[in-house]
Amino acid sequence: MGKVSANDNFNIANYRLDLTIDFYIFRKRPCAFGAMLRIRTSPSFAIDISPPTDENGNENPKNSSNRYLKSGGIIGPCVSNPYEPDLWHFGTCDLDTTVAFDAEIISSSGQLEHSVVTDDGTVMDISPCIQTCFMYTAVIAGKNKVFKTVRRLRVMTTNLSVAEDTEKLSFSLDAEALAVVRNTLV
Amino acid sequence: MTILRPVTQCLPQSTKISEQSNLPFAFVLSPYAKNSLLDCTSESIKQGLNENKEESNKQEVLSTSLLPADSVPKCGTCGAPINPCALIRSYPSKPTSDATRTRVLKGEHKNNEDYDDDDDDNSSNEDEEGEESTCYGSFLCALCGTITTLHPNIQAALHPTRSGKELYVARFQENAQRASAALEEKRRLFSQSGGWRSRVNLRNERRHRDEDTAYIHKHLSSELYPECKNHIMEFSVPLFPSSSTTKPVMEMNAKDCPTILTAVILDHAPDRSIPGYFTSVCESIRLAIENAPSHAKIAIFLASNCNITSFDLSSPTPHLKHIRLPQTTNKSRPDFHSTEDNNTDVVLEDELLWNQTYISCTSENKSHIEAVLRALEDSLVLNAACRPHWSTAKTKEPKIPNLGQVLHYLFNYLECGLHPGDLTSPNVPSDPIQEYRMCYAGGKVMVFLPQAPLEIGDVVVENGTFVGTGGFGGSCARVGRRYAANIEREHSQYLDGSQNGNGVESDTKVEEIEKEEDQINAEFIDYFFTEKKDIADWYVDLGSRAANLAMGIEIFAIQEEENFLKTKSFGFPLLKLLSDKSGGCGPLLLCLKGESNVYDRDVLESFGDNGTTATLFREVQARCPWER
Repeated sequence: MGKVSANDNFNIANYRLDLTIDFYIFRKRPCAFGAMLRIRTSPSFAIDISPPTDENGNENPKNSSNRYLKSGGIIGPCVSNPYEPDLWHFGTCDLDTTVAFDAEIISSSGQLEHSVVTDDGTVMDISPCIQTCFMYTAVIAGKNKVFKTVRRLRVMTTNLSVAEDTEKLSFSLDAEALAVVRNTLV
Repeated sequence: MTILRPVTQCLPQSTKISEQSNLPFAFVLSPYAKNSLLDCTSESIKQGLNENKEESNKQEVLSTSLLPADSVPKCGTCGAPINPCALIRSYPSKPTSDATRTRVLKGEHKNNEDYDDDDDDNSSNEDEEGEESTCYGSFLCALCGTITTLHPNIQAALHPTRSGKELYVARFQENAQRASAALEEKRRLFSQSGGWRSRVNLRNERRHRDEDTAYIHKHLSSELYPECKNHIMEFSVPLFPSSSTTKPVMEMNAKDCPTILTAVILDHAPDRSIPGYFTSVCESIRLAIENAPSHAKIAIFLASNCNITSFDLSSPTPHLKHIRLPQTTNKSRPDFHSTEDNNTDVVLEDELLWNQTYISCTSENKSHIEAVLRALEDSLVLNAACRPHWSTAKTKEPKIPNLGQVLHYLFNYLECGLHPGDLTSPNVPSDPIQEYRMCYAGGKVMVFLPQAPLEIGDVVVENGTFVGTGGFGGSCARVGRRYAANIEREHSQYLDGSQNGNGVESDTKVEEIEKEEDQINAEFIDYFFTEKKDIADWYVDLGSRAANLAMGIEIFAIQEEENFLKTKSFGFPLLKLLSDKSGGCGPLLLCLKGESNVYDRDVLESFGDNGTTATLFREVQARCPWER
């Protein structure tokens, strides 16, 4: 299996340089450096940062090797910032880098709140929301094929629906995501 | 693009439902899953290469990429950037009080009661005429559920250190004015067609109001705010924090801020190396830099028990620079730049080290790197040829240096540099290149291991090691001792040893050296296990340091085929911690398949593609910072 790419800018007079750079651009897989990830959630739920438990469900982080798997609640190639609880650092990050995290409902009622009451008593519907802010450094090809180093902030905000019963919750299962989470924990 | 996949696409409404389902309330996140929306990807590059035809598209991409992060309004409560799913409205009147904010709130989110009554419309129009130049808006933060009024002072208070707040204000006011004009145009069209004032049916009036609101939200807002089109947005961020007086650096030439690759080769005594180890490692580095872009930089370090050695890659002739690991007798962290015991150690200067250690992979410098790699391969031959008595003198199993300590000093050195996103930089340089000795975007540290590191394996240290020891060509001299001054003595000792029967005196000399090295290692072990106590914690700390340095650690554990999977463990669970925490791809165990004493590339090629040596080459190439 392969991939055929057409280069419309081929110049026979300078083909060595052009072809080398073009070929590099086409085959390059981007890599981000010095990345920072911040995850914000709606107030009613948050990332589970509780210490891991052993097989019996007892919290014994000192003797459990699982304590190294989680870093500030996230399982993956990242480290949490010791001063900011919802900030994680990635030394490098490529297209395949994937992290997983558990969430928990932290509202006093034990339910996901999908409405808020403003100061004047107005009730507004807000579905649970997750926002990820991913800031990274990358080397990209700019004008005239000159590579430049830039830093970007990628913001993703997603609203999620709520399942009122178990059936609806099970029906919306993403098997691949479940496999990733289970495999990571194993 | 960022991909977020919850295990269940619907979230459980309550903890009870979550427990009943036995499904994890978890998420899987790929923050860098696809190419940037703004970068010139393969498709956009393909278009952008033909500048004449696709100039308009390119300009559009570039104009979008110029949108700075400071132009994004933030929530006044939680500081989150504006939620693209939120309703964004601009109001012509300046909300100066809480009552005004409440009115804005009603108009914002209670569509059926939008615009209040006719009197409010009139007053609103009056405000528009009076304050056309100052337009404000408000939005609902879906994260914390609070209303934030887009007031410049509020946003400036959220980001007092950023100098781009003026950009935000200018952009928002411009957009708000455009929104107001569009709203007026819409109202005018309604009025010409009879308008809602002439309608007596309240239901129809409300329906048209809803249509008007929906129209604004769907079309006008999406045109003004790209966030409403895409729930993923990307913004430019300054590379380095800037003060109010300096202009933020939004981009740099990659030559001034390159990606770097640091190859760290650990080994025990050169005459005890795994056959083909150096050859394979050098070949993998050679293949890696073949595809390196000219702006990327590379450095090659060798590490032994008590030394870190760096090649001077700026010279056409291979030359080594030595850094002796300081002793740790005082039970405190040793100083990397200690000048003690300078008689035997060569302590490098930072400036010299940056310029000579890391060089760009231009065609001219690639010949220098090739010379270094060739010399490194030859040093093994020279050591094996010149010092056969060393092999006969040692019967104990050799040990390689402690990986953690090597990385510790390497990171100490890298921390002298600067990279974007470094939150720990004490000062904000006006010119990063001049202020700091090296500015880099990020990179990888590739560690080649022939055996488990000292701190993972048995803590007993049998002998000292001198890898790539000294001087021209990386051979024939001990660390800190010059080639010319010692080669005669070394040679005479060897001859004396040969004349006295299989090198008995030379072995005695070697044992003295080993004893000295053992003392240093014993002190290190004493220090390490009394201070740190937990190797896993130490590796996690090192991985965290690497992440803060924007460096990923790649570990290649290499064994010869005969002993593959037969010798002691490499300590992969611990090495995986080190690599994972830094963002690396994880350690890799490989075996060298082939005959012993392979020094020729032609012979190496005979290993074939199916051998694990070829796997090493592929993996090293694939894990280069310019590849992934």
